[in-house]
Amino acid sequence: MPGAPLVYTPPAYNTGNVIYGTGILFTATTGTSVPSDQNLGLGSSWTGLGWAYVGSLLDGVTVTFAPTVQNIVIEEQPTPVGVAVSTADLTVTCNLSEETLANVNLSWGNGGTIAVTSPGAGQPGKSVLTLSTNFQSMSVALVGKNTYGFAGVLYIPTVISAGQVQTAYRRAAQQRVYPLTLSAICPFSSITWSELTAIATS
Amino acid sequence: MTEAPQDQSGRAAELEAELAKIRAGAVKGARVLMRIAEGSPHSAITFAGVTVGTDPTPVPAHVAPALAEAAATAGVQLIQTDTEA
Repeated sequence: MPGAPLVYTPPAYNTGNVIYGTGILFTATTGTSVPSDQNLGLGSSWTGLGWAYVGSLLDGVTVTFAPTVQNIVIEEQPTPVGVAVSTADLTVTCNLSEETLANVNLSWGNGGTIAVTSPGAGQPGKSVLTLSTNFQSMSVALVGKNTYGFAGVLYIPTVISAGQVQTAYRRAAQQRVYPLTLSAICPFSSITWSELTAIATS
Repeated sequence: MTEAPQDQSGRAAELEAELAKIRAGAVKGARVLMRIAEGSPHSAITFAGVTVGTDPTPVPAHVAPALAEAAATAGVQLIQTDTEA
């Protein structure tokens, strides 16, 4: 006796949700406010509040979430009965392409000071970075364009720069780059990812 | 109306001072006012994202002690002038 026909109908996918493009990385003193929703995509609104743009990068920004888990097992069952999160490392990495003292300090732990001496009689203007291993925490925001064409912001309120930094001085092979590794050191629940979805109604 | 170059420069300095206050205000929490000491050869110091110049600059209270220590290490004379609520 024939039944209903067998069909194969997968759900439709949305290519509009496939997003690519660079992210804009800002850092600031821990606790610095983020711009209002209306201005999240406006670069000058970030810098106006004291956020520093890291500038051009060698190969973009990479966000890595690397949790480690502990399986909870019982003798009577081969599969885990539960999975507990042991650690949850979140890092933002990139290779800074702009060699400024601010960027050098940022990649080398953000613990240094930059003292500025203005030019005067017999005194050339200069800036001196004094390094320190007393690394200072900071806030970080990664701004990208979302599927609506508006700003999407990953905001991590407290990170520390503590990655290995290796910079090659080459004649012509490559520009000098400063690897930056920002590791989240705040409660995971304080990290937010905001997406603007529509313009204000008035 | 076109302003003279020196007027534009002065206006730029005013705007920079105003911007520094806005930026300092954007950091939550109490602040202290700090500046480069008079007679110092330095005109500014930047530490942990905070820049202090020769005018009293609001500094987040949680940054001030480390800034003072770092400035001393760098040979920059900083003084605290006041505390904001």
